[in-house]
Parts: sequence; structure tokens; C-alpha cells
Amino acid sequence: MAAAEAVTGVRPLRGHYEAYYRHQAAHRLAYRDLYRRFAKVVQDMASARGHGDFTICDLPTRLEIIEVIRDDPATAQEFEIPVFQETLATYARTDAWLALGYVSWEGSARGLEVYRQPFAGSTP
Amino acid sequence: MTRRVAIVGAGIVGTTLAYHLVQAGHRVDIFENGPDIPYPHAPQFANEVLYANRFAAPAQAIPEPLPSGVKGLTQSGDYPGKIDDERSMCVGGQATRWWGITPRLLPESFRPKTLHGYGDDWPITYGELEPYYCQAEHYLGISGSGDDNPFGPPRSQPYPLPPFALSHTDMELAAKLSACGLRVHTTPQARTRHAYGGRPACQNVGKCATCPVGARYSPNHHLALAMRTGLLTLHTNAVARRIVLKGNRVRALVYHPDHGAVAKECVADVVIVAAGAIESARLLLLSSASGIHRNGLGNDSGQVGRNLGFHHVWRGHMDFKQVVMAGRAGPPTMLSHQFIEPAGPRAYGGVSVELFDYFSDAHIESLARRHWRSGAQMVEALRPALHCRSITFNAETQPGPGKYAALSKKSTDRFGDPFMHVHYELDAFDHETYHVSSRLAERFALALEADSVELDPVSNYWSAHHHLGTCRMGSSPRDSVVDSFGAVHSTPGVYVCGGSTFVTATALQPTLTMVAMAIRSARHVSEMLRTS
Ligand SMILES: Cc1cc2nc3c(=O)[nH]c(=O)nc-3n(C[C@H](O)[C@H](O)[C@H](O)COP(=O)(O)OP(=O)(O)OC[C@H]3O[C@@H](n4cnc5c(N)ncnc54)[C@H](O)[C@@H]3O)c2cc1C
Repeated sequence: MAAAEAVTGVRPLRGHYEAYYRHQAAHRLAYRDLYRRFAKVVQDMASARGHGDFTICDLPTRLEIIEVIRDDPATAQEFEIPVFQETLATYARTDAWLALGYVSWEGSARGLEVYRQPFAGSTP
Repeated sequence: MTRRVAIVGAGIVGTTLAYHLVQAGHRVDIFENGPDIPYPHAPQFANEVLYANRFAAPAQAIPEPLPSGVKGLTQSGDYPGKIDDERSMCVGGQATRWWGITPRLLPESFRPKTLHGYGDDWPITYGELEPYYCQAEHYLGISGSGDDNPFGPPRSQPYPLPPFALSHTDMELAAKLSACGLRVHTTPQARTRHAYGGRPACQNVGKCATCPVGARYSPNHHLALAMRTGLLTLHTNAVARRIVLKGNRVRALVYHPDHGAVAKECVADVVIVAAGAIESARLLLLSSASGIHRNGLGNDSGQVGRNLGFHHVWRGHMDFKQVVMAGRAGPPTMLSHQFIEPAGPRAYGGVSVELFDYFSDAHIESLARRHWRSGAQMVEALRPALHCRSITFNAETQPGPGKYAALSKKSTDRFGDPFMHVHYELDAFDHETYHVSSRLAERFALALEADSVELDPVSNYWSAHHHLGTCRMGSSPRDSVVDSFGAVHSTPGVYVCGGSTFVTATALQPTLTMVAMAIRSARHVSEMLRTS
């Protein structure tokens, strides 16, 4: 989750990312192991930088660690799609729409009134 | 005496028949090729909305995939999609994944030959079907307005539920269109504006194809009610393989439970085939017997499989200078029926124009198809989509020699029975309809002051999963397979119901008409069983 926060830029994250990872871990053995390996890699890198725990690292440190993983062909090969791109795919369907100015995304109960009102959000 | 009816297919047509027949006191067995799925469809919704993405298919597919050898349709012609993938085989059939747009046909829709000089007239009139349209609208819980569509057909009863309002942007666009003589209106839909018949009110979660709460109608709803009577037996993963006659009259249905090798017989007074246009034709063809049935049931004149018709949907989008924020109302909102029935003789089809409050999926996908470094980068790339809105044309087609389904000469299922082969190609009529649609797209874009409008090329057409014809209704066995109740000519006790019996495809979504006709057929079968 700490990595997802860093890569999506959303803080705090809502529960749908966790639900996604749990679903993958519950149904796909390969993902369970992969998430464990990923946690170990970021943890080791955080320790090497003198931080006890990746999850409590500040955002720049987390981003720096993630950049290293994504730029190293060996780790990128393993984690780029199942961790980073899948997280961003979840983001594209959800929080990206909030960032674009929508009050909620398709898939959440949006009610039958808001869409009839003039658009009140800001389009940054 | 309780009579026994066997129904093939637990889609919206099969379940409508089953529900009405058990209400009338008959015992019904319904045979469904596919599995049952959890209802309401919340797990499926979570899979599709949250867990599926372009990198990872959901781990648990809902419905679960069919065993190999159950589907295997082959195709030729120019249809760009894979037809086999368009067929949902599970309890509820395609209507577990439909949008629920439910217009009635117009009185003119039933007389294309007389009024426009193409296709054939139906052996039933709008007036005969109108009371059943009312019943079907109550049965499905349709929200709609009988007042705002000046091109709508006459109605004897209001819709059971009020319509879903147009969105704020819809209203702005509607005003501009109206100033240029283009009329738009709300969309009748099998989606609950208020709680209705045990279904909760819609809360605008999505585009409706999968509804997590059952606000959008799904056949599972009435299937559950029918099961409670104790008169209905549902056989899942059970493929119907042959209809067996004694003389000319039906005797039994042969089926294979649990996709197994062992065949069983269900002795029945009536067998109703409601297996969709392609599989219904297949079952009639596979059930050949002696005499007039040597080429399949109802096929003495070689009509089974002919007259296949899809709808042709061409999708497009308009780009605007201003932000239009499409997608705030997920489900269908605004459409125009102004061009569904141009008067007089013509050699092109009518079109219904959908201007739903959607951004174009293709547009979004092309923006989102890259690998991204960060959320911020992705948002920047998505920003142009805020200026974009979809426009879709749902076009009428006419049957012709280049559109048919027949038993495949190459591909067989696990029992050695041939699968179906579909040949489908656009004809001159369809190309002309596309030209009409393109010109209309320009006209709508101009009225809306859009910067640009882009329509898919003619070759990129989509059936909208509306597979129609193949067992068309008519009064004579020379040019049809069934009568207007679905009774197969000269074969007492065998019926075909659903879109397969449509004479033409019209420019309107077909399912409300299928349900209205199924209710009419159920009443007819029930009366016939009582009096015979
Ligand atoms: C995404 C999507 C959106 C749609 N939107 C709309 C819309 O807005 N409006 C509209 O009017 N329509 C819409 N449709 C189409 C609509 O869903 C169909 O017209 C309708 O559901 C067809 O119902 P049916 O019962 O005739 O056939 P089906 O749903 O195809 O059911 C037939 C059933 O028969 C079973 N079967 C076949 N052969 C055998 C056999 N030999 N033995 C046992 N079982 C067998 C199949 O497994 C299947 O479950 C949409 C469809 C899709 C997929």
C-alpha cells in the first residue's frame, strides 16, 4: 500500500487497492509469492538506506526506492506489470477520475441527483 | 392433469416462458447449457469493475468457463467480431450482461415490405402485441416516459416506473439539437427508478451491463420466484441435444446432464426451444427425423438458419472545445428515435441514435493503453477525454443471401454433432445505411457545435449481441419456420421462441419484444395444454 501511495500519488488510499491485492493473492498463488518478494525487496532497500521500515519512509524515499526497482531491468522484469502497472490500472478506473474533477467513479453508487446538477467540481 | 413442458435455454426468453407457465400450473423443466451464477451479480460486478484490467483477467471468471467442446461456432464473411464470444451461456443467458434498453417496436416495424419495399411483413401486428408489451413492461419493471418521445408508438398503459432523467449536459445538448430540428428523449430501460417488485432502486453505479444489486433486470429474478412454486426444475450444465417426435408430434427432449456422456430423456407434452438464434436453429437441424422432418424440424422448405439478422452498431465520438464531463450518469440517458422509420420506399435502414452521457471507451482506451510511470502522468493523458462524448448508431438491417447460419461441415462438438457455421456479410442496403448514419453524425455534430466527429468505419460494425432470425415466423411453411406463437409448422408440441423468430431486425433493441412475444406464447401454450 505504501508503494501504491507513492506511485499513484493518492494519500490516503481507499480500500479498493487493498481489495484488489487481496483478491489477487487469494486466487493466484504466484501473486502471493510475488507480493511477498516485493515487500522484502523494498524492505531491504529501506533498511540499506537506514530506515527501519519501507512503510514509514517519507514519500521522497519511497519514490526513490521505487524508481530504482523500476529502472533496474532485473527487478522491473519481475514487478513492473503485476505491481506497478496493475496498481495504475486500478487507479485509472478510480482515483484518476477524482483527479480529473469527478466526484466519484463508475462502479460506486453515485445516486440519481448529482448527475442532473451543473458540474460543481473543478477541472484542474 | 398437470402437463409437462421442457424449455431449452434459461435466458430471458426461456425464464419468461417458465415463469408464466408455472404460474398457470404447469410443470416445467428448463435445460441450460451453462452454469448458474450468484445473483444479485455483486461478485461478478467486483470482478469486472475492480479486479479485471488489461494486465490481469479476474482469477475467478463469472460465469465459469464452459468445458471445451461446448462452444465452437465457425464463421465466414466480413463480421469483424468473434460471434462465439458474443454468446453468454449461463443461467440468465445474455441478459445477465445486458444494458436493459427496452423500446417497443413501432406499428410500422412489422410491415417493412408493405411500407418500404424490402424484407417481409411480420404475421403479427403491433395492435395484437400491444397488450403483451404492457405486460412485459410490468414484468421487467421498465422505467420510461410515454410522453417525451414524439416518435414512440401508441400505448394503452403508462410505463410502470417513471423515466430516468437526462443529465445536466444532456439537457444543454438537447436544447441545441432541438433548435436544429433534432429531437431527443429519455431511454426506456429495465432498470428500477424506484424499488420495484422486490428489486431495489437504481443508484447509478455503472453502465448497467453488470448490475451488483439487481436494479437492472436479470432473468435470475423471476427464475427464483418460479422455483418457489415447486413446479420448476432447473437443469444446469445440461445440453439439449435432440427433440424426439412420435409421428409428427413431440415426445421428448434428449439431454446430457452435467456435460456428461450419458444421455437422458425428458418426456414432455411441449418442448420450447429458447436457445438464442444460432443454437435454436442448430437444435432443429440436429433433430431431423423421417418424412417432412428429414432435413430438420420445421425445415421442409430449407428455411431454418436463413434470414439471420444482426443489428449493426457503429460507434463514434464527438470532441468539444468545452469540457463536457461525460460519464457522470453511467447508464443510458438520451437517445433519438427520429430516424428509425423514415417513411416511404427506401433501400437503407432506419437508425436509432444513442447520445448517452458516455465518453468513448475507445478514446479512453487508446489514451490508457501505454505503460505509465505515475498517476499524475496518466491523468494528464486522460484529460482530453473530458471534452469527448460518444455518439452511436444502432441500425436496421434486412435479411439476405449473405446472412445465414447452417450446420458446420468442419467443426463438431464433443458428441460428434456439427457446430453452427455463420456466414455474415454487409450488403448494399447496409452500406447505404452507413452513409445515412455518417451524414446524421455530421448533422448532430454541427448542431452541437462539436469540433469534430469521428465514426467507426463501415467495416467495424458490431451486432450488439442481437442475433435475430434463423427460425422466422410466418403463415406458411414455404417461407417460414414457425407461426406467430412460435409453433413449428406441422410439428405439434414443438415451439421456438425468442429473437430467432423475428422477421426483420428493425432499428430498435429487440429484447422487450422477445419478452412480450414469450408472454403471448406462454399463454397460448397454456391454453393449448388445457384444452388438448
Ligand atoms: C452486453 C450486452 C448488452 C445488451 N444490451 C441490450 C439492450 O440494451 N437491449 C436489448 O434489447 N438487448 C440487449 N442485449 C441483448 C439481449 O441480452 C438478448 O437479446 C437477450 O438476452 C436474448 O435472450 P434469449 O433468452 O433469447 O437468449 P440467450 O440469452 O442467448 O439465452 C439462450 C440460452 O440458451 C442456452 N442454450 C443454447 N443452446 C442450448 C442447448 N442445446 N441446451 C441447453 N441450453 C442451451 C444458452 O446457454 C443460453 O443461456 C444485450 C446483450 C449484451 C450481451
